This record gives sequence, C-alpha cells and structure tokens, in this order.
Amino acid sequence: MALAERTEQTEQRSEHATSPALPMATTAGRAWPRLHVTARGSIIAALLIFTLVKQLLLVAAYPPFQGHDEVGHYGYLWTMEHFERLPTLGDNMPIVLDPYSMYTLDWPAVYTANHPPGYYLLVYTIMTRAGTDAAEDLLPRLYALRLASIVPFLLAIWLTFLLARTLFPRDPFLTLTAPAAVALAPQLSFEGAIINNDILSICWGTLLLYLCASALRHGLTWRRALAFGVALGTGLLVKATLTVFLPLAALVAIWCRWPRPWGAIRTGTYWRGTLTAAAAMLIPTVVIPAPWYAFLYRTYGDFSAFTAIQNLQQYWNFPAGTFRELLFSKGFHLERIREYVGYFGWKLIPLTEWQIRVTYGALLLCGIGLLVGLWRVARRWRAGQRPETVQLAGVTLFVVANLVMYGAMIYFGTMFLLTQARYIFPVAGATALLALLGLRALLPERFVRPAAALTIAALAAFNLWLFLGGVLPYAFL
Amino acid sequence: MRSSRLTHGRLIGTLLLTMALAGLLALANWRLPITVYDLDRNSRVLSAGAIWTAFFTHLPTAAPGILGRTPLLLGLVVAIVALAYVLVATLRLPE
Repeated sequence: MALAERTEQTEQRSEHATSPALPMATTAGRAWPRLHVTARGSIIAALLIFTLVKQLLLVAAYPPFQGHDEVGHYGYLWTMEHFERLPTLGDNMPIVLDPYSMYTLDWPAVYTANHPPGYYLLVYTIMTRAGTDAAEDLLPRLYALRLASIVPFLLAIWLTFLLARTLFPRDPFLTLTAPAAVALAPQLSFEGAIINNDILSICWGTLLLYLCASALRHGLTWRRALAFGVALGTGLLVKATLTVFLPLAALVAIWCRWPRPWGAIRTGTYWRGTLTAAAAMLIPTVVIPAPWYAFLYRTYGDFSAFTAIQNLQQYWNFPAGTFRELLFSKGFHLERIREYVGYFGWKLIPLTEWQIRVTYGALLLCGIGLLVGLWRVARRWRAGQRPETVQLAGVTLFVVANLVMYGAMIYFGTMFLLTQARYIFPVAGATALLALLGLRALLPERFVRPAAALTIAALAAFNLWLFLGGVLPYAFL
Repeated sequence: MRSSRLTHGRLIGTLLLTMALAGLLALANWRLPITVYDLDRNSRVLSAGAIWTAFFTHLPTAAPGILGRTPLLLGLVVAIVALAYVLVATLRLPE
C-alpha cells in the first residue's frame, strides 16, 4: 500500500479511536452527546478551573497599566478606533494615557506599531464594548482587555496537555505536570493577566507544537498540512517571533513525508500526497499574512520595521552585545532565567534571594535529569532497545525549538538592549515538557504518581509565595 | 456491578480526601507566615490572611463585577477545592 494511503488510514483509525470520548447516548429516541471524562481529563478540568480563578486574582492584583507595554498595546487599539486604520511608528498615544507614560519606552510614540494586527483585531470589540474612549472608561476597558488574555492562556494549558498526551500517551507524570507547569509558570501567568500579544503568541506557539507532534504521531496528511498552514499563516499575524516556527514546521514536514522506504520516491502516489500536503501547508502560510507584510514593506521599507524602531529608540537603545558576547555571558543567561520566573512587567517586583535559589535548584535538578535520561537512552540503544521513533523525533524537535527560539532572542539582543526571556515563551510548552522529562528520568516507576502530585504542589506553593510575598505587598501594602 | 461499586467507592474516597486537603490548604492560605519586602528591601513577617485582607479591601473599583470582592472570594474557595482535587486525583490516578 502506498505511504500516503497508509498514513491516511492510520489517521482515520486514530481519530476513530479517540472519538469514544464523546459517545452518543440515546434517550427516548433522541441522541444526546454524553461526555465521558477520563481521570486525566477531570484533573485537567480542575487545573483549568484553578487557573481561571488564579488569573482573575492576578488581573485585579497588578496595578493599572504596569504590565510590560500595556500602555503601548492600548495605544495601538486606540489608534485603530480613532483613525480606523493600523497605527504606524509615527502615531502618538492618546493624552488620556499620560498618567501612565512612565510605563512606556518612547512616549508618546505608539512604539508597538510594528506588531502584527492579529491580537488587536481579536480584542478590539471587547475594548469598545467595555466603554467609550472617555477618561472615566479607561480602567474598565483595561480590565476587560486583561480578562480577555485569560482565554488564550487557558487554551495554551489545554494544548500543552494535548501535546504531552500525543507524544507520551502512557505517561501520567508528563501529561499532568507539563500543563500544570505552564499554568503555574509565574511569568506566563502574568502574560495571561495583562494586555499583551505575547499570551496569544504562547497559545499559537503551543498549537503549532501540538500540530508538529500530531504530524509526527499520525503523519502529515493534506488536512493536517492545511491546518498547519492556517496556524502558521495566522501565527505570523499574531507576533513576529512565531516566524521561528517556519523552519521547525518545514523540518517536521520533511521528516513526515520522507520516503520510507526510499523506493516510494518512484511512485506517483508518494509525489501526489507530498505535493498536495506541501501546497496545503505553503499557500495559507504565505497568503494569510501577506497583506500585513505588504503594509510593513510599504510603510517602513522592510519586512520587520526593525530599522524604524532603531531610529525611534536611537537616543537610549544600543545593542546588548554581539552574539558571541551574549552567548558566553553568564549574567545574560541568569537574568533571562530570573525574567522567566519573576520580575513582572517593568521589573518592579524583584525575586528574593531564596526564590532565585529555589529556581536555580529546580532547573539544575531538571538539567541533571535530562543528562541521566540521555545516558540511559544511549545505553539502551547500544543494547539494541531503540526508543519510540515518534517520541525521539518529538523530543529532538523540542530541543531544536528551544535552541532556535533562544538563539533568536540572543540575535534580537545584538540589535536591541531590551531583549527579554518572554521572546522564547511561544515554545513554553516544549520547555516545560523538556524540564519535566528531566525530572521524570530521576523517578523510579512506583513513585511517578506521588511525584506528579508533589511537583504540582511545589509549583502551586512557589506561585503563592511569589503572589503573597511579592505581588500583593507591592500593590496593596 | 462489583466494578461499578469499586469506581463509586474510589470517587467518594477522592472527594472526601479532596475536601480534607482543601481544608488544610485554606488553613495554610490564611495562617502561613510570609516575609514581605518594601521598596527599600526592608523585610517584615505577616500572616497570609493579613495580606489577603489588604487585597480584598483595596480591590480596583473600576473593574468589572467579576473582579469584585464576593466573586473573587467565592472563586478563591473554588480554586482551593480545585487544586486539592488536582493533587488528590493525581495521587489516586488508576494504574
């Protein structure tokens, strides 16, 4: 049987296998969908409920407009409302934001104007329905927009669960702790409680990772390729950092459509399937964001607006260093770790010495675990026990995704002083899974469940510590 | 039949343990001593309850109703129970 047909059938079988999650129960001749919640599903549902409340508390806890670039993002939306067009770097913020001008980089310029419009188009209606542009409606609008950020955050958690379940379906530790690690990552939670497009890019990044894992597991049919293309195309309308997924998706596509056996290359079916999948993936990736990139080129003369941003910030901006300097700078990497965990917004809530030690300790443990896991895999490989190819490809993809994203963040630092850890957040699901794979490698099989509960409890306790010891005292005491 | 009874018993056990753990978590969330720092990095120790009280008495007034005192307090109770369920159900996850 041709490879493409086999893949199609495997996918149909796997879809059929997952469909009993929503069986139809017939009651008095009428078919009602009956939801069978699995044990893991109920835990994830409870985790989502917990996270929803946590996010509501965070929305209320952070002082107005103190999230990073909240003023700039509101300025973007305000320009759309008032001028009925996308903003440019030549536009100014509304005067109503003047009391919050200290929480901007280049007041009064709308310095967020280089961002694609995806996030803003999605939340625009929420803003206009929350109030008018009068000064007394500014805060109701702010809180409505903050509340909107909770939705993509919850989606990112659910997608992380799907991602972990796709690659490690029989591992309760990874399928439960990975979504919990995303839900309880303090800085990701912060993104999910302020006005910003990062939270949407995290959600989109996790979706793309899930599609990658799904393609590795079930094959790249034209339908999945189309979903991939639409997700990539719309992703480029969410945030420019998601361009990193272009090479990753290409690698996954090549891996999935690689002729196995090599002889398949001589069959028409292989080429039909591969070319259809390539077109289904490529066309939406190019067509959907094309108007935005045309706008960028027409307005700034390039596809990134980096030069225009550098001109705007020429009085205070300078490169954080060369690529080599940043790559080998211990201080640079430690600062990125601290940013990943805390600081919040304009770095006004520093971590305590103990919180930093706990963070480093946990990361060290995960790192040691990864090395132990790698050593075990190598030893088993030599003994003839190869790990599952899909898992191996998936973990390799996670490593590559993290390295490429981190490299892009360093590269950004060669142009801009304020390169930050949040630029790698779109691969947060992969980062969480890698870290927890490390922890998993250190666990004896009989302790997997208690260790999962303990990990979630530790993450929750760390959050409470930061929230009660840092965030609330900063804003309310 | 026997399997159904076992599942039922397991569920009751999970719920009872969840309520017990939620009680413990609520107690910790109120009584735990927390070291807080001011802007000059001077530290003082407060109970978690005192910090929550300060938060709930100074909630943003311009926020929508869902960010009001009553919904957030109710939400906090729900969140504690949900977290307790996550922990207990993870521990008791079937093999």
